Amino acid sequence: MSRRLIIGAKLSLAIASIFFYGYWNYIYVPLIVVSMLVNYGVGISLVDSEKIRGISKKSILVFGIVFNLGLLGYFKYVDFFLENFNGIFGTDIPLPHIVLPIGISFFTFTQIAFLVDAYKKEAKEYSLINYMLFVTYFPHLLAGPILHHKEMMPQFANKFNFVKNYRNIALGLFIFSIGLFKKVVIADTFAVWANSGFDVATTLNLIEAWATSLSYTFQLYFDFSGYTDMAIGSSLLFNIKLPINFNSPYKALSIQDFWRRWHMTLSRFLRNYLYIPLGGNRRGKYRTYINLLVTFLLGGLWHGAGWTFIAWGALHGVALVIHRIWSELGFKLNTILAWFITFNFINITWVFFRAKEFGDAVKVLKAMFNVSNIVLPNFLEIRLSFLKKFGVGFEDWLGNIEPGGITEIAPHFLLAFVLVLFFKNSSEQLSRFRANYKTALFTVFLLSFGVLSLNKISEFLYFNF
Amino acid sequence: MSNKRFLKIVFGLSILGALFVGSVNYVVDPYGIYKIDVFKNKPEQDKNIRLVKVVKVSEIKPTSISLGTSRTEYGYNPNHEYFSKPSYNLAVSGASLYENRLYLEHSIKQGNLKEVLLVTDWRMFNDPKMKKSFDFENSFHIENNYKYIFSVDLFKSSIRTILNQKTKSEYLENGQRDWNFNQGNIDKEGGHLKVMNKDEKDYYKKSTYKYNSNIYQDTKKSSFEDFRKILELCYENNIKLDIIFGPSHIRQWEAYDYYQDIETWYKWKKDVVLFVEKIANEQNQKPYRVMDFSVYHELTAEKVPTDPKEKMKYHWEASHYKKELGDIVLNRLLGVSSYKDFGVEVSSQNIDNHIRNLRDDRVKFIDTKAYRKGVFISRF
Repeated sequence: MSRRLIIGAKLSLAIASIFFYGYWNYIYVPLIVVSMLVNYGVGISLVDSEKIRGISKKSILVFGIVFNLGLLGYFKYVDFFLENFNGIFGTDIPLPHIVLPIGISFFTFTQIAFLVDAYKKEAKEYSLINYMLFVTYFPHLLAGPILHHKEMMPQFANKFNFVKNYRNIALGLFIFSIGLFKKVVIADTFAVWANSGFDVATTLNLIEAWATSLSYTFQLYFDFSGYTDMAIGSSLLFNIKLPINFNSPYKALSIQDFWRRWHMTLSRFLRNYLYIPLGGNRRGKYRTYINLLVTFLLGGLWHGAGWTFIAWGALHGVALVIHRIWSELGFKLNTILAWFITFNFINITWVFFRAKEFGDAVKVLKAMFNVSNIVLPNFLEIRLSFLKKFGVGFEDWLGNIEPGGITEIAPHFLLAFVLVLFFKNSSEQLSRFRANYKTALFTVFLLSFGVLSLNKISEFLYFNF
Repeated sequence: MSNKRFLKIVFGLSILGALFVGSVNYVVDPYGIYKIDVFKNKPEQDKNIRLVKVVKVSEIKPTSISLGTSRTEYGYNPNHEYFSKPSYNLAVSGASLYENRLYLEHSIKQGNLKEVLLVTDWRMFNDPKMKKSFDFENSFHIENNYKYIFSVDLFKSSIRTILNQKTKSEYLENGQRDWNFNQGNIDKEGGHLKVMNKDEKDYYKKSTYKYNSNIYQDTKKSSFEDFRKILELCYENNIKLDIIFGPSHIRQWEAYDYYQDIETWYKWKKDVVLFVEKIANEQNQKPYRVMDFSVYHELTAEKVPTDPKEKMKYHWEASHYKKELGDIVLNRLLGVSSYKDFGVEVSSQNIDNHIRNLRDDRVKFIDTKAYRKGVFISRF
């Protein structure tokens, strides 16, 4: 294949990716282009630092990292910072309400990794066009996975990847269909219940509160892993393999296990570029604990500018420290109990992750443990009416979440549990893929159900307002 | 199987599947948006009444409409002689003033509109959600409805339409809510008093209405801007507009006072009245009539029965009233009611005096302390 054709192919893919990015909000196209060019320049200077006189290699790296964190800080954290500043010092600095550029958290991290590796001489001198493609490549641009240049650059350079490959197209379509279904059919169904519980309801009874938090736990997993599946699938159409990002996280038997299965490319980044540089576990027990905590506090803050995210990160950090002490002491738990504790911890901490304000998190959490506000399904009233004297109610038990009641909600929860606990996940499905009629029909079902669910008809069922 | 064959099968069958879903949706037409009458009864319409009413208005091309929220849906009968025919009840549950404005624009576009009754309430000026679905504006492009043909949501509605041919829709053909259903709800929930206590406890909560300043809670946009457009549109199109404050039960204002302070409600009324005159001035026109029916009167202070089986004559609960009371309001607007003391026409001339009367009447008509004890002190 001619070199010019290959360059043309790469260039058109990079430009199409930038167009895709600008389709959401073209104002931020210059942002990603500038970020990319500056980082490429810094990266090249680091690889070739011997030729640059007068500036130390370290200063170049520091400049690069400060540049990236500065951009991220400006676009993501200014409001949060000013709000707290105003709160503490009683000032009244107006908040600029900067719109968060989509994907900035992701392309900041991929590029910091690139700079650090260039500094350590682990990154090669890549061509500008490959670097552009690496940063803007559309499948991962908006929500990851967080790519590493070492796994991507050789693929972009490999000329065999420019040959049409039906096997990869079939694989890509297969996993894309799984992802689409997970996102628009499963996650969006749970989203409705999570939204009513978190954002609309003013009070929740105990069962409603658990339905709310579990709905979000499922929504987030099916949404995010579905998104990743679609990214992996669409990338396969171009013969590019993206790293796996989820490995059945809710099957985890410990919090450490969970972080090896959940958003794996983020864990990898935080481990290699934060935890290990902080000293990792090489500086004694206590320093290890502190490093874990710091990593997760910052990891929490990376997910969003708010105290709820910091609280979420802190809880996970503390849990990891406790898990570490526990395993150092040599304790082991029964498998089912271990799963139960881990899953519930994750479910409860997601409440902080989801709540828009601390008040909402407290509302849901309080209700989850408020045994004085139990409302059971009305069909149980006849058999269990003696419970009434303990304050148990029997009416409108799911009204805040789903007016349709148990027949609407229960099958979904059951199915979701079965899917996350007993089924092979999409990466495992991918590795077992064989083109046959069964798989074809399965794909047809997922794809057409998914596509036909894109046209949502919004229902508004609150009658009495 | 070769991978190429796999791809052919997947694409081929997916297209066939989509076509199947599309044809079922078109033929069953669960919302009546494609005007196919193979299945005449369409109970699924209720779930998407916002869309259905748009289509209905473009069919009926009404001369008169009523606008407002669920109170209007229940209370005002388009067949009443107050309305010139054809008429339609175009209010929808929980509509903000923004949504109402879009419905008005849509009705004007149909070419026949002469009269509008706008039943205002405070909540539509301070709505938690300026619009209830993100693509609300799209529902006015009726040709857009064809995109729903390829939709699983509509397919589910199609199936339910086929299965539930015996279920009735909660709406009448003229857009009014069928009151028989509400009687069922009140009975199921344990009678008028119980429903009232429960609803009022949460109705005006601070967490729902953080900003009591006539902005939509989510977008923070001023609802008076939409009010201005409504008034201007009516002037420009020579439409006779009546604006009323509806006759909810007086308990409602106590619930309001508990969370929001009743003085802000009086002020809101005054703002509305002055604003109507301001726009009239700008337009060099006579101000539209504004009548206040949320007053203290035997009709709005109807005794609430403690017996769950006993029925009220005029009210469902504090906020919604029956069509019997709506009829009296319409008669009053026509000037033919025997309740001559019910409802006050308000203007900048008498509004302060009127508000003073409301304050005085409040003390005479309701015991705030006892009310709060009944509703807000938690009972087990």
